[in-house]
Amino acid sequence: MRVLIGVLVLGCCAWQTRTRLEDWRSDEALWTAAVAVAERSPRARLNLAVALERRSAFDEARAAAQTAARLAVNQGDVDVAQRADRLLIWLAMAQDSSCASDSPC
Amino acid sequence: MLTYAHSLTGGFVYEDARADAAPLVLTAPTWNIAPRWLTGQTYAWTTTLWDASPMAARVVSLAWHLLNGVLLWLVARAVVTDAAATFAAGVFLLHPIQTEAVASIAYRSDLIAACVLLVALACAMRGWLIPAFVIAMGAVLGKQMGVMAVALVPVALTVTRSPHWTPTARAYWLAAGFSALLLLLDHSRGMFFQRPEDMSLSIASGVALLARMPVPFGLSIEHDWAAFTPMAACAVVILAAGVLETAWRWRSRVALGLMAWIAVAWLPRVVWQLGEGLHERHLYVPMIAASVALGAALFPKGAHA
Repeated sequence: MRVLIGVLVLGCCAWQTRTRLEDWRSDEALWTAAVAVAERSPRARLNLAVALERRSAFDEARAAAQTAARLAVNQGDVDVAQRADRLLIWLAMAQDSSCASDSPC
Repeated sequence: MLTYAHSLTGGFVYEDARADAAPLVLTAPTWNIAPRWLTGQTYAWTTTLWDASPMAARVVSLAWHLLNGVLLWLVARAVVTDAAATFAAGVFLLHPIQTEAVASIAYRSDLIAACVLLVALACAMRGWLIPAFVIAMGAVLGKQMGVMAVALVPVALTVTRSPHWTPTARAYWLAAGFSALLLLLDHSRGMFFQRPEDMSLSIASGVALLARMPVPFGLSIEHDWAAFTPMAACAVVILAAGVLETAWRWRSRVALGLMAWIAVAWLPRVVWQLGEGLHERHLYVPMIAASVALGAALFPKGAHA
């Protein structure tokens, strides 16, 4: 019986570890998982926005950065609020330059 | 190995790109010994002898984790049954809370400090106390907090009632440990003590992480510590004190030993200003004792599988 419990516990651990390792394959996967667990964390939202921006997913990145900025202001996290604002400006510039090269925008 | 194999093809993630951790930056092995020297060298030698790719770095981190599992099994066999030691090593290797320390290349320092601690424990369990002390001091070459190995070895010897832990040995260890503490204080002059509210946050986040050990779901790099109000932190601390009192009343050596191990391992993180709360990777050393305690509970001496 003890051996059965032991094998069951180790099996559950192995399964859960395998699932958790998916989060550590890329920045986007890591911060998507972080946002799912810590919805009120502005830092997780900001890091997700940065990861999305690297993939040129500007619309999703902007939405994540806006939420990060709002949460940071509500929680008095000045550092994250400033970084989110800077990212939003950068995203607007990046999207403007892509609009200028690709038409219609 | 099979469980972790899937993660080996991932890229550099989050703090892996940090200057002191990135294998791409640190390419030259050096003999300039300093705290974290061994950790830095593992990055440098991986790049020099193999590759600067994330896969190479992830394989090396996994190898350290597997080595720690074997060392834990060897140490645990000296104090618990073979079945308990095997189960403890299995839990230590496969528990999901270990993924942060193993999968992130930047947190290899925790694996190396734990490895040195386990070697020191193995020596101490055999009565080789002088080599054990020297090796325990060497844990700072993994990371600065590894210095707590000097205090964790006596905790293990006391809990396991080692015959080698004589009053004379205790006196010498205490004197040498005090010298080590003075060295640490000298080295950490730039650090400051945490404010009481930050200390309570560290304790509360630590207890919240411990609560995730038996039910390891919803793990994340970004725990929302902001959700912890001072009131919640106080409630958690009172709860922890209640558990401690119950263990003391029951005279449970395993439970008390486990709590002492965790308290000693986390003491610097609670006292000094080292960042925001505790994270999953900081459970790597506490998991050594937790795994053995769990093994001892499931396969006690005298019980038949």
